[in-house]
Amino acid sequence: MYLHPHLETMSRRDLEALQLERLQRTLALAAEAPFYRERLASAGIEPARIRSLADLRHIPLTSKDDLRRSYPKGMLAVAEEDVVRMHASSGTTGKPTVIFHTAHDLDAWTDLVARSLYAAGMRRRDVFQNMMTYGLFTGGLGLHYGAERVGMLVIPASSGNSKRQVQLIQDFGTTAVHITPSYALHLAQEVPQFGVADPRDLGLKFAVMGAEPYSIGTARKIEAAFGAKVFNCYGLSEMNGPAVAFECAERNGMHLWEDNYILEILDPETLEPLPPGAKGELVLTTINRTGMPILRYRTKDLTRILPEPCPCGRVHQRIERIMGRTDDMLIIGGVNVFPSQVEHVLMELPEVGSTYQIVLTKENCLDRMTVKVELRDPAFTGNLAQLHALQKRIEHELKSALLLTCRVKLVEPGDIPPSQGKAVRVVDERGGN
Amino acid sequence: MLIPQLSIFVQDKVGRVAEICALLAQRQINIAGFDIADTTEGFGILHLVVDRPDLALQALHEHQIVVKSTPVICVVLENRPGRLALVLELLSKAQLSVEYMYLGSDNNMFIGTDRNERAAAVLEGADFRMLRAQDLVSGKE
Repeated sequence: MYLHPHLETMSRRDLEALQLERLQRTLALAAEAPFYRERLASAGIEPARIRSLADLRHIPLTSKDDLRRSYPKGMLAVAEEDVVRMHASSGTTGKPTVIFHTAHDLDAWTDLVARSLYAAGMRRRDVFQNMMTYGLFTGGLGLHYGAERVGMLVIPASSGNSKRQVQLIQDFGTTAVHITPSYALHLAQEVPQFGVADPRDLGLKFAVMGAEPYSIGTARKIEAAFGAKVFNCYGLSEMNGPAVAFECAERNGMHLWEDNYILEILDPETLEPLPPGAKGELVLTTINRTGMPILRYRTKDLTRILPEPCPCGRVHQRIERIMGRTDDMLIIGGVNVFPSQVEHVLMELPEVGSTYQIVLTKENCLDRMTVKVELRDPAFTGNLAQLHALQKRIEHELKSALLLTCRVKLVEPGDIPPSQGKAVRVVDERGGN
Repeated sequence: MLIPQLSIFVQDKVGRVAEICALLAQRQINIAGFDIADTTEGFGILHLVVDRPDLALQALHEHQIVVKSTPVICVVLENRPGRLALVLELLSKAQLSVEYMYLGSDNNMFIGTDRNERAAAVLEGADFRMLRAQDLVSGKE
């Protein structure tokens, strides 16, 4: 039932003692990074004087902007030669957020993924097909190595190409998949055209779903379609990636692995701690990462702690499925997009104005992003081919900045309502998942 | 020998072309030639030849409409067999590429090519009657 019985079921007291020991080590290490050396010094904090978990709240919060400002290596706490991998996610403007990992960090992360998959019930005889994009995104490699550590056969299928996904499932007897909820719904629709009358005939038992927020309703719908159990997975690249928190077999909230992270729930306005069970912003501190420790990171994700103990017996507190964001980040087909990224791309293009609108729709269960852009008069030559070329060029620029295919629609000046705040910039017609 | 033509960027929206035409009608501007090059991408280009292009440009600019003056040539096409075929044959022999063409009022054929001045010279050399900008103005009065 437990892959790491001691770490998963130790007493709260022992867990907190472990957390404090790891926090102190992390602080000493963080002070080696240029960013935190300065940040801690200017806040008057001496790592050696943090003597209890309660002292954590004296440490300043870290934001995504801090990561961007220290790009690329300002938060690196070890020698460059000790780094063995990097991952990156979209930043709020042009620059991505980069996370460096040492061999120790990858080992610890892989352990958490393995622990999570094991808690859900996956065992070495299972076959794990990873339908998440491999690459800089953490959902590919992160789950890949964790599933291998459980001992499963891992199929690195990556995302898309439903025909091949179905064939791999059939030929190799896949029992577990890692998939986004939107792709799962799409795949369920597509399966019949590949000669499988009912998606339940594929024989899947487990679907690990993350990267996008989704409702219990969506989870149940996917379970009904495939006859598989859905397990919610939470993570963010700044905190390694998937399996920061994961549903156990009870499937009632996600255990946040507190031997690797310290969690806080803060009021997003006052940044004061909230009582257990109250909804607020999740703030996380890495306590088992050496390459790039991050202290009190504002995830911008809204959730709450489920204060009651879980019947599974794990000591790690559970968080509710993510209930929203405190910023304007969009999640489109599993990819994080900030409207400011779009703005940044458009500002570089003299042919179009900086007035834009993002329209999100669903096509065959998949997210579709359309960016409406106003054509500027001086750029217009009267030539249709040039307009086409401009449209394609903007699509290309957006794709390389967002790592997401989107459609560009050129519109006349004045077509987009003047924005009063961020809401008007985004029209989300996808409906709730 | 080039005729001023207005190229207008229009997005696919019910009533948009109607609005533009109404705008010109209000100013008593006469349309002598009209064409829409549409795309599947949600926008198109409207070509207009009018009697008073400067006034039309001003009116369109006032309404924030994206417009450019793009000259074309205009050949008067007699209404009998073989005339259009001959025009096209002459242009192709001269290695000129036709980008678009449309028929306006009074058998006026408007043609946009990759080298308009050369095209006008070729047709005029073959005794075709070429419309000039001032013909449009006088034609109205």
